Parts: sequence; C-alpha cells; structure tokens
Amino acid sequence: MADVNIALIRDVLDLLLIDRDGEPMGRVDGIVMTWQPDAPPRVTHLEMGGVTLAQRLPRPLRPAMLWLARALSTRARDPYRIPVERIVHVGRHIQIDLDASRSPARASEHWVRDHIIGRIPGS
Amino acid sequence: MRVKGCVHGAVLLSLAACGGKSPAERIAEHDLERTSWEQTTQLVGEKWIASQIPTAYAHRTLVTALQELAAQNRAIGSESIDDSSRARLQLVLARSKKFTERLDSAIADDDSSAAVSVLERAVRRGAK
Amino acid sequence: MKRLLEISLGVVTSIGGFLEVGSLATSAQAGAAFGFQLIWAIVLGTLCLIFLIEMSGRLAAVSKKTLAGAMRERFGYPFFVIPLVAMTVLGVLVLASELGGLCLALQLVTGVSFPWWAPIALFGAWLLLWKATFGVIEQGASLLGLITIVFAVAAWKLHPDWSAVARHALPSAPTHEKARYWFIAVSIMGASIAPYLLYFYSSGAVEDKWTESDVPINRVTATIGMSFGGLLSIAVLIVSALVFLPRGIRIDRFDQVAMMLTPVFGRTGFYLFAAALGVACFGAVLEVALSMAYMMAQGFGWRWTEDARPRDVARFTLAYTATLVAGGIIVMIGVDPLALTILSMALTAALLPIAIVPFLLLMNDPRYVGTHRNGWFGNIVVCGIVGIAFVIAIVSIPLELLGG
Repeated sequence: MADVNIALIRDVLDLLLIDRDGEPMGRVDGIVMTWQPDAPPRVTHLEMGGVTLAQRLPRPLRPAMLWLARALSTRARDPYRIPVERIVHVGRHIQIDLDASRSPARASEHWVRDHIIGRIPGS
Repeated sequence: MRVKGCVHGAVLLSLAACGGKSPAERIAEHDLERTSWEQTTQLVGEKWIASQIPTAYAHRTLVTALQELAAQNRAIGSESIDDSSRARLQLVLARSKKFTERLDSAIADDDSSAAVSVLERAVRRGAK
Repeated sequence: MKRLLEISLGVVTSIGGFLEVGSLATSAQAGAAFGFQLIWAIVLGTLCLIFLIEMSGRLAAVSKKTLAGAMRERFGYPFFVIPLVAMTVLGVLVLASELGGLCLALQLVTGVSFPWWAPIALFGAWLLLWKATFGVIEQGASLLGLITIVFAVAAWKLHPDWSAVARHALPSAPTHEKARYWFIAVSIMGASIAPYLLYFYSSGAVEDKWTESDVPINRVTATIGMSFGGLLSIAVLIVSALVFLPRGIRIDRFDQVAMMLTPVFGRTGFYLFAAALGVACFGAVLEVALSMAYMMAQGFGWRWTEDARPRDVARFTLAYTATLVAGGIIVMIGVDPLALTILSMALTAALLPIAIVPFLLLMNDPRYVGTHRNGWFGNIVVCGIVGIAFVIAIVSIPLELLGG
C-alpha cells in the first residue's frame, strides 16, 4: 500500500471490514499499537471482538459487559487480531486480504448457523 | 445537572397539576366516562339490530363496557367528594350497568325486538 | 417512462406502508376526544417524517452506507450503544403493539381472544421473513396496505366541514382536558415520526444499490408518498370525529374503534376495518422486526441481506427472530394493545432526539453526503419539530401516567 496519512480514529476505527470476496467480516473494534523499548510506537493489528468493545465502554459498565462478552465468545482466542499487513485498502470500507469464512472473524456467525439457524428446516 | 433539575421541575409541575383537579372537575370527568360507555352500548345496540356487526363482537364489547363501568364504580367509591355527588354518580352508573346488561341479554338470546325495546326504554329514560 | 414507473412504485410503497396501529389508534383517539382540533399534530409529524425519510434515502444514495452503519462510524461504538439500546427497547414495544393490532383484527373477525392469535401471527410473520426476499416483502406489504384507502373514502362520504378541517391544520390550544390533549398530540407525532422507518428505508436504499442520480426521484417519492400517508391518518381522525364525537364516545378501549366504518359501509365496513387494521399491522410487524435486525447487523458488521438463505446470514436471522419472539411474548401476556400502542408512541416522541440529532449531524457532514448536505430549512424544520415533540413528551407522559 502506498504512503498515505490515515487518521486512525476517524478513518479506521469502527469502519466495516471487507474480505477478499467483498463480504463484510465485522467492524474495526480496536486498534493495537506496539511499543518496542527503543523504537517509536507502531500500529500492528486491527482488533475485533466483544471484549474489545466492552473495554471501550464507560468504566462503570465495563465489568458487566466484559463478563457478557466472554460468556458469549465463540472464538478460541478473543479478541481476534488482524495484522496490518493484511490491509489492502482504506477508504469507504477497509479491504482485508483474507477469506472471512475461513478466519475467526465470523466465528459467532458460524456458531449461530451451526447451532441455531441451521437446525431449522428450510434454512 | 441542569437538565436533571429541569426534568424534576417538570415532573413536580405535573404532579401538582394532577392533584390539583377540583372535585367538580373529577365529577365531570366521571360523567363523561360513563356517558362514553353508555353511548358505546347504544351504538352497539343500533349496529347489532341493523345486522352491521357480528354477535360475538357485540357481546364482547358489552362485556368490556361492563368491566369499565365496574372499575369506575370502584374509583368513585374512593374519591374524596361529597356524599350526595357520590350517591348520584353511583346511581346513574347502576342505571348504565343495567342498560348494558339488558342489551347483552337480548343479544345473547338473539332477540332483535327485545334489543329494540331496551334501546327505546333507555332513550325515553335518559334525555340528556 | 421508466422513471415514471419508478416514481409511481415509490409513491405506492410509501402510501401503503404509512398507516399502522400507531397512527390508527392515535388519530382515532384524537378525533373522538377533540374533533378536528389535533389535525395540526398529524401535519407536523408528517412534515417532519417527509424530511427525515428523504434524508435517509439521500444518505444511503451518496455515502452508500446505511443509517446505523454511518452512525457507528461517525460517532464511535461507545456512543452508538445509546441509540442501539434505546431503539431496540422501543422497537420491541412498537413491534408488540403492531402484533397486538394484527391479533385484534383477527379477534374481530373470529371472536377468538387476541392473545391466542399471537403465536400464529408471530409464526406467519417469521415465515415470511425467512422465505421471502426484500423486494417481495416491501412491495407486497405496500400494495396490500393500499386497502387503508377505505378510510379516505369513508371520510369523503361523511361530508365533513372541509373549511374546519383546513383551519385545524394549524395548531390551536385545547378548550378542555388539557393534559390529555397534549398527550395525544405527542403520541400522534411519535406515531408519525417512527425511527424504525428511517433504518428500514436506508437499508432498502443500500440493498437496491441507489446512487447519487436517485436523489431527485427519492425527493419526489418521499414527499408524495408520505403526504398521502399523512392524509390517510387525517381521514381516520375525521371519521372518528364524525362518528364518535357527536355521541360523546371516547376511545378508551380498542373494541369501540371497530365500529368506525359501519355508518358508511354497513356490515362490510366492520370487516373492512378489520382487514385494513390486520394488513397494515402485518406490514408494520415485518418492517419493525427487519429494522431492528438491520440496526444490529449493520452496527456490528454482520452480513444482513434479505435476499440470501437464512443460514448465510445467521446472526441477522437470529436478530429478527429474537425481536419477533420478544414482541410476541408481550402480546401473549395479554397487555392491552391500545394502551401499549399509545404509550410506545409517546415514548418514541420522548426518545426521538437520541435517534435524530446524530442523524442530522451526519446529514451535514460532507464526508458522508458530499455536496448533498442539508439545507438550513430542512435542519430547522426537523430540529424544531423534534424539539417540540420532546418537550411536550417529557411534560405530558408523567402527567398521563399519574392521571391515567
């Protein structure tokens, strides 16, 4: 991706993530930066998940929402992190070089499909 | 905090307005409510006689009317108004109740002419 | 020629979907209690809705984003949670009201008590959402909804004093029962300015892949369609005023309204009323359930199209199923649909600023609507009407709850 200045909060956070096939794979719930001991901070991952969302809420609500997020989590490891190297384009949406159906991004979708909706005839 | 104060003020104002209904106003309110249900019964009677509404619906509506009149009777019982007003209100309520019961009975018997005479009797009695 | 067809379809869609249990109940109550006096509330509510629906379409056409999606992106998740929760709670109450209306229509026709119909009605609505595509639902509900024109016909045939009708399009102060007057006024506005319509409309526009060239047509269809819808509400008010007011019948329980069309249409009028109520409510149930599912799905970034198999949009499907069930439970408990309707309409008015203020900010943000920003007039009209509705709501709702 070419050198472009991106306002993280305004243009990346909460935006829709689109996968390789143009399908939505969730929203940017958080942004992860890493500090090396003697290097400037770098953006390393985009983060998705109920846990991330819970941590953005006002302090009094956090314990309850964190509990809820962990209870409802269907992923092996929550939150799910996407390395920034996978970002193809940032614009109206954020294009990611991944196949969402094979990534943990759609974990809860698959769970609901397999355990609830898929069990109803005619789905 | 300012907004909270405003809302509290609004609620208090409302409470004040509510409790501030004079006895005369509350009596008038009861008269209006009773008239409404009496007239509903009247309308149901007219429509049923003219075969414009099904019997099941007519019966159900009259049952509702009786429930509402009964609820009103209880409310009047606990109103802080003078005894003669209370007595008058309960008397006219009892008459409305009778009217509705008679009509319901005529409809249950599928008796058009009985229904007609119930309505005529009510008109003769209550020229308001 | 094709444009004309598009416009006609859009107009028809708007008219057919306008009248539902909220506008029916509030207009009927208004007419019976205050004659033509509250026509201004319908006019104000409809005017505001026209502006909002047009904006909703414009946002979708220019930004290619839905209202819910744009709100999360522009304001962030912590803020978005507020309208999400508020609109979901409100949505369930409104859905229960519409479902209740549908069940009452069935009660009218069959004599079987309305709570018994809830599981069946619920299942019917769910099945339609499960099986049908967006186009079928939108067009089907709207075309069937045209039956509500019977109210306009009835109003015409009752020969109201049209100059009095016109006069009351302007606000006037109540002569009696002041508290009730303002409460019904605010319920009327809440019934007209339904936020769920905005989420539904913008989702439809994105689903139909609108572009900037659709903006002018949208303006026309939104205006004409919603105006006709408002006229239908006024028709209900007129009929109620001419049938119930002279006798002093106040609409306190739903049973009373059902006789509304019998003076004009005789026995057929009874069944026409039930049919109009049932069809209008059924369409509304579908729209409200979908709107809430759209809001959740778009807010969290799930797939959300109605044109896919349910298993491919599993969370979206679960969302509308859950909201239908929640609404159904409320109806099955036996909560009085009329009381629930009036209350949820008034609550809608009180919660409007939560939905509308961020929306207005979006409509003035060039990053979302480019050069198609709101004019100052639109901003003032919407702000003004929503502001008025909010103020009346917070004063009159406590009053009504305490007095009623």
